[in-house]
Amino acid sequence: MTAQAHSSTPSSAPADFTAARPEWLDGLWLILPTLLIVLGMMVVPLIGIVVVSFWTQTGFDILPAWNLDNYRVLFTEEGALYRILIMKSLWMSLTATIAVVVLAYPMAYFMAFRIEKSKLIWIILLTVPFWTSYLLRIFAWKVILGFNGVINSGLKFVGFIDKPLEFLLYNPTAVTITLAHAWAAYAVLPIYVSLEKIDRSYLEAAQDLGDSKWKRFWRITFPLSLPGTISATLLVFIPTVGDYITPTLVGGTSGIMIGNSIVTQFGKANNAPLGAALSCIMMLAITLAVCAFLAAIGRKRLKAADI
Amino acid sequence: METQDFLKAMKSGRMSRRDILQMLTAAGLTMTMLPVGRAKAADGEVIYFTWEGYNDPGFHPGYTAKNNAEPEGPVFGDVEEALTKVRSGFKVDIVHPCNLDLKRWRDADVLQAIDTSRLTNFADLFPGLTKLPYAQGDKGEQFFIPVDWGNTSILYRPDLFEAKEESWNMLWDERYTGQIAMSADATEAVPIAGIVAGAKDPFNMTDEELGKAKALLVKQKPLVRFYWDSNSAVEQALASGELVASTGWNSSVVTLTGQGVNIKFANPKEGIMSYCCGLVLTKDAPHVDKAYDLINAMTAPEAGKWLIEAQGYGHSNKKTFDLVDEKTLAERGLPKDPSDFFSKGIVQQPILDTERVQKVFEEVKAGA
Repeated sequence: MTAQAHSSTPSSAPADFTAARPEWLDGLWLILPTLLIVLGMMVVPLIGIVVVSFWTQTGFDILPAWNLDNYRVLFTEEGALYRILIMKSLWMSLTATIAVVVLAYPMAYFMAFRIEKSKLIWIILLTVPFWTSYLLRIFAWKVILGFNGVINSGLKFVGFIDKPLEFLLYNPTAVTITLAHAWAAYAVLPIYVSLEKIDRSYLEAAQDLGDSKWKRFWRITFPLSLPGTISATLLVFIPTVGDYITPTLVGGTSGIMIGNSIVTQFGKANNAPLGAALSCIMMLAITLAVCAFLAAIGRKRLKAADI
Repeated sequence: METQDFLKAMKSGRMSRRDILQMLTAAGLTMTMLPVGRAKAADGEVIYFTWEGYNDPGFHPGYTAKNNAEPEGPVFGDVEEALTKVRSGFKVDIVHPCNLDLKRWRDADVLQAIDTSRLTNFADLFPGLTKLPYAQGDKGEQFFIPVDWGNTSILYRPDLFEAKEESWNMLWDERYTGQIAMSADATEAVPIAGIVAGAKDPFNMTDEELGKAKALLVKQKPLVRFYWDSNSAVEQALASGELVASTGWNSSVVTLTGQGVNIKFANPKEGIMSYCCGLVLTKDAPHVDKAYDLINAMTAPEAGKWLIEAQGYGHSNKKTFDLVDEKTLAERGLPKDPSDFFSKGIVQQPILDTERVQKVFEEVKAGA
C-alpha cells in the first residue's frame, strides 16, 4: 500500500503520514512487548551485576564505593582458586558438550532420514524425559550412579563386582554424564531441523555421481547440517558453564564448578560484589571461548553454512 | 462470551481479530489477578523456617490441636543460608537457629523481642538456657526461646570403622578415604578442625589457629565423600555403608538404631560438642499471633516428651522430665538438668566473626 502511494504521488510524501514514518519503526511496535521484557528482565539486571561488581561489601551492607578490588583479587594468589575453577568449568562443559553433540547427532539423523511416518510422535517421545523438572533428572542420575544405585546393584547382581564402584558418583565425570543427558534435547532438535531441511536430491545426485555412503555424508550431509550442529554446541556449552545445581548434587568434593562459587558468594559467604565480579569474569570467559570456537570454524565456512 | 459460543466460533472460523484480542485481554487480566487471590488463601498458618527434617508434627502437637492445621515449613540446611534468605526479604515468622548463631542473627537486625507474658511455659524453662549469651537484649528483653539441646559428634559404624579410641581425629583417618562425610556448615566444620588443631577457643580462633584448622580441612578434603547439608543424606549413606563416619546430631542415632543399623555416637576424648537451639521471631513476621501459638506448642512438656523419645534431644522445659522415665534418658545420654550436660563437653559458643570462618571453609571447599 505504501509503495503504491509512493508511485502515484511521489511529491506529496510529507502529507502521507505512513510514509513519513520509517519502516523500522513499524517493526519496533511489533517487537515492543518482547523488547520491554528483555530490557526489564535481562539488560537491567545485567547492568546491575556489572555495577555491583565494582562495589564493596562490609558486614551486612554493600557500600557503593567504586573500586576494582573485586577484580584485582582474581589476579592475586588469593584468587588462584577462582581462575582454576573457571578453567575447570570451561573444560567440564566442553566435554559435556562434545558428549551431547556426538550422542545427539545419530538420534537427529535417525529421525530426519529413517523415520517416514508420524515424526511428531518421535519428537514428542524424545522430549518426554524433559517434561519432568531438571532437578528430578539430576536426582534420577544420582539414583542410577549411586552407591546402592541401579548400575552398582545391577553389576553386583550379575556378579561382576562384589563391592559397589565408588568412582561413579561424586566426581567431575558424574557431572559430565549428568549434564550430557540433561541437555540432550537442546542438541537433538536444532540438528534435526537442519538435517530435515537438506534437499534430498543433493544426496541422490552425489550417489549417482559415484560417492560412497560415507563420502556422501561428509561431503553433503555434514556440511549442510553445520548450522544446526553449531547452534546445538553453543546452546549446550553456554548455559552449562554456569550450572551449579548439577555439581552440588553429583559433584562431591572434587566436582564443583565456578557456578557453585558464585552462589556461595551471594549466599553463605555474603559477598555479593565479589559474586558479581566472578559472574562478569565468567561471562567474559564464555564469550572468549565461544569466539575462539567460531574462529576455529572460520568465517568462510560460517558464511557458507549461512550463519 | 460463553465458553460454548467461544468454542463454536473458533471451530467455524467466525472469530474476529477483535474477539480474540478481547479474550486474550480477559485471560491476561485474570492471570494477573490470580496471585492476589492465592496469597489471601495462603494467609493462614505460621511460617516456620527450620532445619531439614525438623518440622515433623511431633515437634508441635499443641499447634495442630489449636489451629487444626500444620505450620508452613520451608527448610534450610545451613543457618547462614537461612539468614541470607531472611535478609533478602524471605517472609517467615519463626526461625530455628542455635545458640552459636545468635550473635549474627541479632547483629543482622532481623529479629523482634518476644513478649514473654504471652508464653504459657516460659516460667518452666531452664533459666540457664533462656539466659544464654545473646538470647536476651541489653534491657533483658527476650529474643530467643530455647527448645532443644543436644550434641554434635561423630556418627560411625562400629562394624565398619575400627576405632581404637573415640576422638575427633576419626574424621581424618586415611584408612577410610572416600567414606567420611563432614558438615557443609562452616560454623560446625571449622570449630571441629579447630578442636583437632588444639585451638584454645575453637569458636573464636586466632589467625594462627585458624590457619592450622584450614590446613587440616584441606588435608581432610580427599578423604571426604561429600560435605552434607541434609541430615537424611547422611543417614542414608551411613545405613548403606557408603559412609563409615560423619559428623552428625543425636536424632540420627535414634533414627538409624530404629532402622536396625549398627550405629554409634562417639564421645570424643577432646570433648563432645553441645548446643541449644530454639526459636526467634522475625521483625516483620506476618503471623505474630500464630507464632506465639507455635512457641507455646514447642515448649510444652508433651512436645518435649516426644522430642526426647523420638529424636533423642534434651528439652528446655523442666516439667518434660517428669514425663520421661529414667531408662529412656539414660539410653539417650541425657541428664535431667542441662547444666550437668553443658558442664561436660565443649559448649558451642557464639562465633564473633562468622564471615571469617565462612570464608576459610568456602576456600577449602572451592579449592580445586
